[in-house]
Amino acid sequence: MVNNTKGGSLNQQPPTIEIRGLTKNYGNLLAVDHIDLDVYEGEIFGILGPNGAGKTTMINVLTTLLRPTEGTAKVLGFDVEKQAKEIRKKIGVVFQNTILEDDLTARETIDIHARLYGVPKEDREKRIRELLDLFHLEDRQNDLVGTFSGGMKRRLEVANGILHDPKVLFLDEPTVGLDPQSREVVWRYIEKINREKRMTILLTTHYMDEADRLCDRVGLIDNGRIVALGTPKSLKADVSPEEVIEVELESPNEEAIRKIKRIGFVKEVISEGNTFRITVERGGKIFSQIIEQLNNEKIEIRSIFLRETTLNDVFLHYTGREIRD
Amino acid sequence: MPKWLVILDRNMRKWFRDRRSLIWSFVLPLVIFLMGTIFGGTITGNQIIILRESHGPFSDTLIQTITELRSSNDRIFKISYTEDFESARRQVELGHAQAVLYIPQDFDRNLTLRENAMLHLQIDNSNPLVSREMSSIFLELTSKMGISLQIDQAFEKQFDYIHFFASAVPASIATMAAYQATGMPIVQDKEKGVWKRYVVTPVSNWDLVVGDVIGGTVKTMVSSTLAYAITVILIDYNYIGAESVLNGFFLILISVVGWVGTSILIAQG
Repeated sequence: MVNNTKGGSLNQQPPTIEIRGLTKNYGNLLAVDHIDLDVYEGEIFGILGPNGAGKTTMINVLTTLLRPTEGTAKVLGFDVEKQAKEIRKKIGVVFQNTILEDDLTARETIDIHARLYGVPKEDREKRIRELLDLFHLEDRQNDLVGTFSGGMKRRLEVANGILHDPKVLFLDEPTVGLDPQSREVVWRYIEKINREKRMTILLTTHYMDEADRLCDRVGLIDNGRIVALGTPKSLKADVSPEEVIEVELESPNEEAIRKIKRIGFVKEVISEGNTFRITVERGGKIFSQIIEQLNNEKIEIRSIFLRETTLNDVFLHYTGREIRD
Repeated sequence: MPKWLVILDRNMRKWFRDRRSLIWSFVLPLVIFLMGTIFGGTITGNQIIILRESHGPFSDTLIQTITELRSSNDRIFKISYTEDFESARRQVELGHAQAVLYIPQDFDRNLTLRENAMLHLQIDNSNPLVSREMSSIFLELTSKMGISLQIDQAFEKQFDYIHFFASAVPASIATMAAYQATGMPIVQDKEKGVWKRYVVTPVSNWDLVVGDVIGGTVKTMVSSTLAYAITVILIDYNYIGAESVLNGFFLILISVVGWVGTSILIAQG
């Protein structure tokens, strides 16, 4: 059982988000299953898991859109069920899909939200200008959102999410559907606002590179439960302190697996069709031995490469399947 | 600034930029009016019965003028003669004839003595289009001849298309426009997820509802008022009077607010 409430040195302070036994059912479907979790001020916490794992449901409960079936959740000390209004004043949310209104301009979109959040008139104009500048949207501020690219819309969404300087920002799959260049831009903004404003950020993602790059800590979620939690580094180290060699053969070969397992420093071999994922302690040395072994057995190799352990390997270790499944 | 005003501001901006919505608001009343006019009735093949009790040069001229008029408007009306007023009236009641023109006994004598001569036209008012057209033709005719015409309606109740239009059509437009202007955008916003963006802000449900109701009412009133204005112009403003026009407008406003509220409830459900 994972103790999700431990956060190393971070837990010296009261948690910004405190979740205890949180459960959410949709009829017979258990979307979130008794989750315990603490997220601390100023950290970027990632919920990493495949589609349908319960990430969005969890965000919807924390942002007061859904009521939990069981358990409690507090954001900034306010209960999500009883003090929703207080929470809404202090959080920012960027939803999974771009849900901006095409018939409004970028400036109007931010202005309307600023007024809804009660940003004083004297500060509003300055704030809008700052955000348009920060997210490089000043040239298109008077264009209708319907004419924007996916990356620009996402930037505008994030600008909207932070315009009232929220204490906590929820990002549901912030870069889903974006091209690599736009993803990189959004990542830099997230890092910047976290660094400069010390904003607590809880993001969900099914991209392991995103979690690896952005998150101070990551919770791996599967079937509504958090199966592992820690920093990306510690999670990888717990599963495999070393490296992974991936071998793709021309055809599946059980004999090859047995031979490879006998090589020293090979810790684990997981096969999936023609592909082996071999966890090793000394990647460099073992690499040549594996090639030699397979050549001796006259087993044809389609590809072989050495790489570091990823969060996908961690997820595979705990759940027996990959995040993309 | 109250938050419902922000929601209203947002609704109005979106409305002015949504061409489909604008077209619906302004064109719908005209389309309905046009359709009503097309299906409003026909004025061909109408039977006029003439009951002539006066015989003299003036009534001869009148009959001759009517006959000439009939010849040039062959498809519009046909003429027959009778000597029995009750039978003629019965034909109108049964719908076999659309009017009875009664030329009284003293018609020629009065005109000879330069006294007031009056004709009587009893008309089938169950078909408003026909009765209006008939009345218009005979009024023009008698006016040219310097004769008075008294028009009597065969039925007490009037089923005038314009009167139907006055109450029912703006009300129908209010119903449709209310759902189009408020219910539909809310359903679309909910489907796209825009709605939840507003729900997670500190705006209360009350502000959201008030902003939507006022926005929807403004949009719907444009359509309904346009339809109502057409009606008032057609029905003759002087005939119904300022008080009735204002009462009608007020009733439309109440109806619109009701329909907007209902459509919001349906959309939210």
